[in-house]
Amino acid sequence: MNPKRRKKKKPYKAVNGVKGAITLFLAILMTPFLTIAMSLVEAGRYNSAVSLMDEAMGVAAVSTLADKDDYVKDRWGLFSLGQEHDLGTTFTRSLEENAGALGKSVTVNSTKAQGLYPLSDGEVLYNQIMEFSKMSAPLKLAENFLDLADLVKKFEKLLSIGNIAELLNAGADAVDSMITIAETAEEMKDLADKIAKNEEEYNTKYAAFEKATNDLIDALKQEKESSENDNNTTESPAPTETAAPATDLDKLKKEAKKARDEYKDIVGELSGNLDSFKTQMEDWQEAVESLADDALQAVSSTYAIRSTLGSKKDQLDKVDKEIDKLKKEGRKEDDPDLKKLMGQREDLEVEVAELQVKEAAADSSNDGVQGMTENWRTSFKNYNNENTGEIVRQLNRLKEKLVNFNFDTLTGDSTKITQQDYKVNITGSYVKSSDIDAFLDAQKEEMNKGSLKDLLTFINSFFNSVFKTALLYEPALCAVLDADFYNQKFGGLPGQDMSQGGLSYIFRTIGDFIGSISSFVDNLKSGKWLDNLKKIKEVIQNGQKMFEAIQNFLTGLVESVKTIGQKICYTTYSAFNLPCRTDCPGGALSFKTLTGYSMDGVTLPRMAPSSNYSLFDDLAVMIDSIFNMANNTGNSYAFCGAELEYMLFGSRSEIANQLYTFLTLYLVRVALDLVPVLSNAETQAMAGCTGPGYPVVMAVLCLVEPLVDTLMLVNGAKVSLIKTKVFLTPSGIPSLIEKLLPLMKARTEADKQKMKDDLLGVMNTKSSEFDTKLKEYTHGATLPEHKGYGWDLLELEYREYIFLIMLLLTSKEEQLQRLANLIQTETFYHYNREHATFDFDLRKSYTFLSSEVNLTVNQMLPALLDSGFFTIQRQCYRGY
Amino acid sequence: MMRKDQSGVITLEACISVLMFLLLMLLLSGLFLMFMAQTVTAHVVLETTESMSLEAYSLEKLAVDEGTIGGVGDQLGKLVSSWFGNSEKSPNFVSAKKWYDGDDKEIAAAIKERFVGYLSGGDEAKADKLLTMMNVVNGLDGLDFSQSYVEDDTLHVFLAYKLKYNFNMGPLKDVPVEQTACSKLWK
Repeated sequence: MNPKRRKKKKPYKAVNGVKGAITLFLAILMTPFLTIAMSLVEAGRYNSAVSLMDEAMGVAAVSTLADKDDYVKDRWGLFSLGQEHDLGTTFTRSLEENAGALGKSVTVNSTKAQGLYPLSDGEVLYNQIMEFSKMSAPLKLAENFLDLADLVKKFEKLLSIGNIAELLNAGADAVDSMITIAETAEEMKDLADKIAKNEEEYNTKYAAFEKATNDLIDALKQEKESSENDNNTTESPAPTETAAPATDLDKLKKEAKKARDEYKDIVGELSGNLDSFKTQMEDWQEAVESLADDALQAVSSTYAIRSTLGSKKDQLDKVDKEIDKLKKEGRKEDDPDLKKLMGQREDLEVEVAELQVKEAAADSSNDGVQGMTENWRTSFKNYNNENTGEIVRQLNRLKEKLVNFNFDTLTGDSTKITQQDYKVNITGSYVKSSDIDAFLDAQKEEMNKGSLKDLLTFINSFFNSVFKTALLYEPALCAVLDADFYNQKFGGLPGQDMSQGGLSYIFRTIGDFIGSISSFVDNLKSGKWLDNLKKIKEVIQNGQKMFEAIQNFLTGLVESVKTIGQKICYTTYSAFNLPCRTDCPGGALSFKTLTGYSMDGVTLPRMAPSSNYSLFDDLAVMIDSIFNMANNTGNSYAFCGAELEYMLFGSRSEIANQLYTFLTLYLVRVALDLVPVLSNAETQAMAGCTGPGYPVVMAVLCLVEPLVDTLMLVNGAKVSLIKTKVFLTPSGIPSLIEKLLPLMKARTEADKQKMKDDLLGVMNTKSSEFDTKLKEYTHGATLPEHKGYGWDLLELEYREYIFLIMLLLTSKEEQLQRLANLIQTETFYHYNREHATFDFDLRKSYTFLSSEVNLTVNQMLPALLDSGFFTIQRQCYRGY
Repeated sequence: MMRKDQSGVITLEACISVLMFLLLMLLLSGLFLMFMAQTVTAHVVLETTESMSLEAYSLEKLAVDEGTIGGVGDQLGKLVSSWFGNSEKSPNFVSAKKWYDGDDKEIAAAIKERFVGYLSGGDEAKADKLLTMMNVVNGLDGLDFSQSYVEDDTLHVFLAYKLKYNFNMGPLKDVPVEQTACSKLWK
C-alpha cells in the first residue's frame, strides 16, 4: 500500500480503523459511571464517618459522665458530673482517642462540652431521686415492716373520732348556766345587803316615828288636861308649869311629821327593794330549777348513750375474747383472721371512746348541776316568795297609811301608835347576804373537793416543766447555717432558704389553753366561785379553739392520706437517707443512709452544746423562741446531725428545726392519743371526779399524754401508733418512769432526777402511794380494768413518725428545695474537709452533657488533597 | 468492512483494556470492602468500649460474690440480672466477674468476647466468616486486642488487624489497621 495515497485519503490519520475503539469506548463510558459510583461510595463513607463520629462522641460523653461526683453518688445515691475536672478537657481527651476508631476518615477541628440540668433544678432532683428510690424505697419500707396501706387505714380510723370541740360544748353549756346563777347570786347579794340596810333603817325610822308621834299625842293630852283644869278652877287662871305651850306643840308636830315622812320613805324603799328581790329570786329560782330539769332530761338522754355504750362494750368484749382465743392458738399478728378482728376492735374502740366521753361529760356535768341545785335548795329553804309578796303588799299598805296619816286630827284623846298598826314584820322576806355567801362558798368548796385543783396543778406543772427539761432537743445539735457565706460564695443556697411554720397557729392555741389553765389553777384557791366559773369558761373556750384547730389539722391529715401514694418514693428517700437527732445521742453521729453510706462523727461538724443551750419557761415561750431563731444566720457550713428535722421546718437553726419537729410530732400524737386517752377507764375516773372540771381535765390529759409520748420518741424510744396504755394515770406513771429515764443516756443525773420528780409530781406522791392517791382522787371508786390489745400495735420510732408526717404534711416542692439545700451544705462541708481543689456547688452538679464537635470528613481518593471537602458540626446529648 | 490485516485487533484491544478496567474496578471494590471492614470494626469497637465501661457499674452494684449467701441487695441483684440477662445466658454481653481487675490478657480476652457479641451476636464462626469476607487477615484470629489496657479506671481499647486486597495478584501488601477507643469505667 502506498502511504502517500493513504494519507491523502484519510484526513484523520489518528483514526486508524477500529483500533483503540474499545479503549475509547470504555474511557468515555466508564468515566461517568465510575464517577457516579465513586460519588455514591463517598456519600456512603461520609454518612458512615458521621455516624461513627456520633458514636465516638457518645462514647466520649459516656466516658465524661463516668467522671461522676462520687460523694454525691455514694452519700445521696444521685448521679451528677464531678466538679473536680473541666468538662471540656475530659470530653476532648476522650473524643480524641475514640476518633482513632475512625482512622483518618475524619479530622476533628474543635470540640466543646458543657453541663446541663443541674441537681439544683427541682424537677431534675425529683427525677434522680425517683430513679434511685423506685427500687430502694419499697425495699426499705419492706425491711422496716412498714405496711403503709395498713398504716394509712389505721391512721384514718384513729382520726375519725367525732368533734372533740363539740364534746367540750356539753361542759361549756353547764358552766354557762352556772355562771348565770353565780352572777345572779352576786346581784342578789348586793340587793340583800341593801335590804339589810333598809331593814335597819326601817326599824330606826319606825322607832323615831313612833316616839315623835307618841310625844305629840302626850303633849296634846297634857294641853288638853291643862285647859280643862283652867276652866274648872279660877277666873284668872295661872299658867300651869306642865302644859305645853302652843309653840312646842307645833314643833312636836313638825318633828312627828318629819319622822313619819322619813319612815314612809324607808317603807317605800324597803318595799321596792323587797319587790325587786322577790322578782330576782323568782328568776334565779327558775334558772336553777330549769338547770335541774335540764340535768334530769340529760340523765334520760344519758340512758340512751349508756345503753348504746353497753352494747358496744359487749361487742368489744366479744371481739377481745375472739382475739384472745386466736392468740392462744398461736396465731401471729399478721394472721388474716386476727388482723380482721383487730380492725373491728379499732372501730369499736373509737366508737366506745366517743360514747364514753359523751356519757362521762354528761354525767359529770349533771353531777355538778345536781350538787349545785341541792346546795341552793338547802341554803334557801327558809325563803318563801309568797311570804315576801305578802310583806311587800303590807308595806305598801303601810306606806299608804302613813301618807294618809293626819297629824291635825290628833288630840289628847288619840291612841298612841304601836308596832302592831304601823310596822310590818319583814322577817324571812329576803335571804341574807351572808346566806348567799355561804351558798357561794359551798359551791367553791364543791369545786375544790373534786381534786380538780390538785390534778390540774400537777398536770399543768408537769406540762410546763417539760419545756424546762433538757429533753426537748439534743443540745449538741446546735448548728446555725452561715447564710451570708452561701450568699456571697454561690448566691445563696439552691433551694428556698426560709422556714415554714404552718402549724404555729395550732401550737399557739395549745399554749393559750395551757395558759388559761394556769390562770384558772392560780385563781382557784383565792377567787370566788363566779370567778372560778368564768376561768373555767375561758379554759373551755380556749379548749374549743384549740380542738377546732386540731380538728382542722386532722381533716387536713385525712385529706392528705388520700394523696400519699404519689409521695411515697421521694419521702422514703428523705426520711431514711437523712440523719436525725436520735442518731446523734450527745452529738455523736452514727447513721447508715438509705444509699448504704455510713455517717460517723466526722461526716458532719460537731459543736459544743453549752454555748447555745437554753430552756423555756413554757410552751408559749418555746414557740416564740422557735420563730425568733428560725431565720438567724450563724457560722456553720452544715448541720451537725438534725437534717431530717430541717425537712419539716426548713430553718437555718438546727435547734429551731428540732423544736418545731418536736411540736409537730406532738401534734400528731395529740391526734393519735385522743381515742386511747378518752376511752381509758382511769382517765375517765380521774376527770369524772372533778365535776364541772371534767372537760377541762380530759382536755388537759389529751394534751399531756402525747407530750410524754413525744418525749419518749425524740429520745429514741418506740411508741405504738395505737396506744393501749395511758401513761399519765396512777397505774401508768411507774412504767413511764421505767421507760423514760433509761432513754436519757446522755443526760446528767440531775436532769434525770428532775424529770422523775416532775413525773411523780403529776400525782403529787411517791410511786408506792399511787393506789392511795388514786382513791383520794376517785373518792374510793374502783376503776374498771382497761383492756388493751394484748400487745403494742405498730410500734414506730422517731424517724418513722417523721416519715409519716412528711408524707402527710410536707409538699413535694418543700421537700425538694430542702433536700437541695442539705445536699449543698453537707457535700460542701465534705469537700471542704477533704481540702478539695474546688468549691462544691449544686448548681454545677450537672446531670446532662451537651457536646459539640466540628469535624472534617476526608474524601477517599483525594487523600490526594490536603484538606477534606466536607466540614460539619455534630452535637451530642447524653445524661444520667 | 474491516481489513484482513486488522482482524482480531478489537479482540486484542479488548483483552488488554477491558482487563485493565476490570482490574481497576476490582481494586476499587477491594478498597470499598476495606472501608466497609474498617467502618464495621470501628462501630463494634466503639460499642464494645461503651458497653464495657457501663458494665462496670452493674458489676460493682449487682455482682454477688461466689460462696456468699448475700443480703437483700445481692438477691435483688441476682433477680435483676435474671430479668435483664446474666453471664450464663449472654456471656458475650454480660461479664461474670470484674474483668477490669484482671491483667491485660484477661482484659483483652474480655474485650474480644464483647467484640464478637456486638459483631455477630456472639457467634464466633459467624464473626470469623464475616471478617474473612471483609478480607480481614486470618478472620477472627487476626484481631489483636493485646494492647488494650485499663488505667486510672479508664478502659483503653486497642484493635489491630490487617486487611488484604481482593484479587491481590501480586505486589500489594496487606494493609495494617489500628483502631482505638476509650471510656472511663462507671465504677
